[in-house]
Amino acid sequence: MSANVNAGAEGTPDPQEALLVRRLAGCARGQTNDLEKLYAALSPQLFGFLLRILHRSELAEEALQETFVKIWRKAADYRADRGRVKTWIFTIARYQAYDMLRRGRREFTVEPDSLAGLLDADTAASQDDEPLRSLAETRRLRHCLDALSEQQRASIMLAYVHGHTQEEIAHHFEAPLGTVKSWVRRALIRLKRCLEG
Amino acid sequence: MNYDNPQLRELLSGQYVLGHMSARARARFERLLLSRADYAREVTDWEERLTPMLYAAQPQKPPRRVWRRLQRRVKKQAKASSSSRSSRFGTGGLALAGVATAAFLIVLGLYLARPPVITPPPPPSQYAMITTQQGVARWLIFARGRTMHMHAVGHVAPPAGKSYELWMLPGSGANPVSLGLLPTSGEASEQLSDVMLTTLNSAKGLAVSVEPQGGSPTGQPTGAVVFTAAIADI
Repeated sequence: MSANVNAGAEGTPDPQEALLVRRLAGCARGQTNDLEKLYAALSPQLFGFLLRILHRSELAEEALQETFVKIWRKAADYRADRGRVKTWIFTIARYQAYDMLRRGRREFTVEPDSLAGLLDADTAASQDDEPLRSLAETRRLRHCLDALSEQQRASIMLAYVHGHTQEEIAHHFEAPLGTVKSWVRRALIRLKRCLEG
Repeated sequence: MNYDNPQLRELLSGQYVLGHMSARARARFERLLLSRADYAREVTDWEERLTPMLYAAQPQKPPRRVWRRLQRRVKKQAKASSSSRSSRFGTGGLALAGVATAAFLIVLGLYLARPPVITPPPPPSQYAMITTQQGVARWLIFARGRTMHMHAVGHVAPPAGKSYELWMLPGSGANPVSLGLLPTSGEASEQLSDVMLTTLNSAKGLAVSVEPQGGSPTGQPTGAVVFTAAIADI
């Protein structure tokens, strides 16, 4: 268990998290006004992320809608031990986006600059309404990703953000599959050590 | 493999979250998640560690029509679920209400609702876990793309001369549709037609009946319904 990552969930009270939990509990009871508030709070950030992966607005809109339908239907299944509400919701959105990408594969590819810009300090800083902890976490993660080799970093980001398989990453770098596997393994170990250091 | 090794736990969980596992390794890992809370926690921790990557995209206000569509769907669903509640198990000769005591419903939580993404098969979209009344897992069922996978947990022996057959209960209240015979051990899979896939997407649940060896002779359940399970979709 990584104390730093979950400090908010287990220790100091986090008002934003508490609010999201309340909204989710409302959804579980069938309160559409809670869904509306949750949508108002998270849809811009989710839509920004979905657009980044899916590129086309109509696809991102569909993914956003599906994500919230799932949130609505699964709200009662949420438990705090499955991570923070925002993590839970972004995970739903992430798999929704992969699913749609896979249906239309490989019409879209990742441009190198979209990778490079993914964790730009200025985009992170532009989110004024983002709680400080999230910002600090984004910076910390960025710092730890920066400490990886280029291939390690790209492998993690292509996999996690864009849903690329190891085979696709190997193709992307024209590297043997075994090499990619070892990049990813090393990257995971170094990342965890850095994030907890 | 020594699953108590912390580094192995970190690595496997991280690879799972990245979607970097073969289909077989993933199935094995998902079984491990059912019994090892430390692994389930590690998976959650990896999601917590990595999601900030997703927060960094520039926020964009979605068009108003997305909310309007969502609202319509949510309302329709709320209506559908309240009107179907009374009739869901009422047709098809399956007296499910009577077996409610013998059955145990379980919806898998988010650990399993986080399918990793791996090349050939698209991520699973629906799960059901069939357990005994005491909560002992018997089969893990999941649909991935057009393939329905049925994993027996350990050895599940039907009565002599009988087979266990899996059925889906259509949301429309229509007759149960056979999904094939359940394996007594190991894994079996079944290809789903378009129609079956659509039915499954809106199905109310799954049921297992005891049938003559080789399956129901009539295409409908003929023997006792011994298990039912809810479907959790992703």
